[in-house]
Amino acid sequence: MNIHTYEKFWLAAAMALIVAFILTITYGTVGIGVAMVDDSGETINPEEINEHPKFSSPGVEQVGENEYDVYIQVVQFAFLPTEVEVPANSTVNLHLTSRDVIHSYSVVGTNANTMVIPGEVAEVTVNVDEPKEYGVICTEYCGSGHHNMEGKLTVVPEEEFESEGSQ
Amino acid sequence: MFVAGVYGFSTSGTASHHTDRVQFESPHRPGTTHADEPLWAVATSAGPVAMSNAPIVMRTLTNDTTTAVFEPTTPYQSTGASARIPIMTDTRGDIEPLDIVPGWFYRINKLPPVSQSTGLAGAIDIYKESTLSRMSSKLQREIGHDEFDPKGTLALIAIYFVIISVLWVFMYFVEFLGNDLTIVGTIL
Repeated sequence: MNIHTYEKFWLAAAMALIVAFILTITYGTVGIGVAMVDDSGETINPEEINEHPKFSSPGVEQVGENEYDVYIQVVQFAFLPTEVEVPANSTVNLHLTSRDVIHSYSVVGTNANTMVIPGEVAEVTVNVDEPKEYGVICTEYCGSGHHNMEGKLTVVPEEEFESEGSQ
Repeated sequence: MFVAGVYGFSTSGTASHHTDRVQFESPHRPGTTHADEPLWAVATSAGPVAMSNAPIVMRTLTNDTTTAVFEPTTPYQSTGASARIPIMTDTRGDIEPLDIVPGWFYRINKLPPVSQSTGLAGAIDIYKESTLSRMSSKLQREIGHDEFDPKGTLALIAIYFVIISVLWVFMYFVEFLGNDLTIVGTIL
């Protein structure tokens, strides 16, 4: 089969483009560590959230030198706790579950968001750098008060942070 | 390139009242046979006759000095089965407006030379016989597979590739990765 030089060129270029796309995604996943939210978190009985060792008293807990676990209950129509404070330059593991219907935990203006499903614990890890205040909203319509659901995720300077869970 | 409107060969035998043959010559390139000169005249049964934008010098074969000028910006008009060319102006006054049998369209190069052996009639015969083949052979150039180099298309596709690449880089590295907080984790 006789293929014109130009055709060979743009066939090759199209293939190269596809390879470049895949390499980019691979770099993001392997190099940067970008991850998808999956269902690897534990399951939980929505009726018994308050008996759960962590979700019964949701909040921030230091689990490593610069690593913090955050447990948040999501209900109609609030995030509990509503405001979360974490120190700058740390790794934050958010654990979220719903007590009633499907909600979401969306840190506004960022890539961090997840569905929050009753019976399922959504686990999300983010690295926070600079002190900054983020708004949090629910982006899954969850009822008449959906539009009033809001929370806050505040990254405070390390010296100002007082962890409830730390010794 | 010469364009000849030939009349006298009417299929009905009644459309012609004139037996001269007429040749149109580009005023831009008198006497040339440049194949790309966009000179043409079409008579159609639909009526209007399309034509190139340039005025055309017209000569009769029997009197090479006769000139007539089409004003091609004026639309041709049709009268029934035959299209007339009322906008032809005759600078010498001895050419009548011509009937053109609908659909007749000749697009040829120079008429063959009128030699002693062939005479005018012979030249015209050669011309008649060769008209169709000239239409196909003189106006288009056959090129091989690898001679066809659509550089414009290549450039266009290259531009598309550049745009797609730039937009991809912008979308992934600036819009996505730059939009911290980003969910991270380890695969498996």
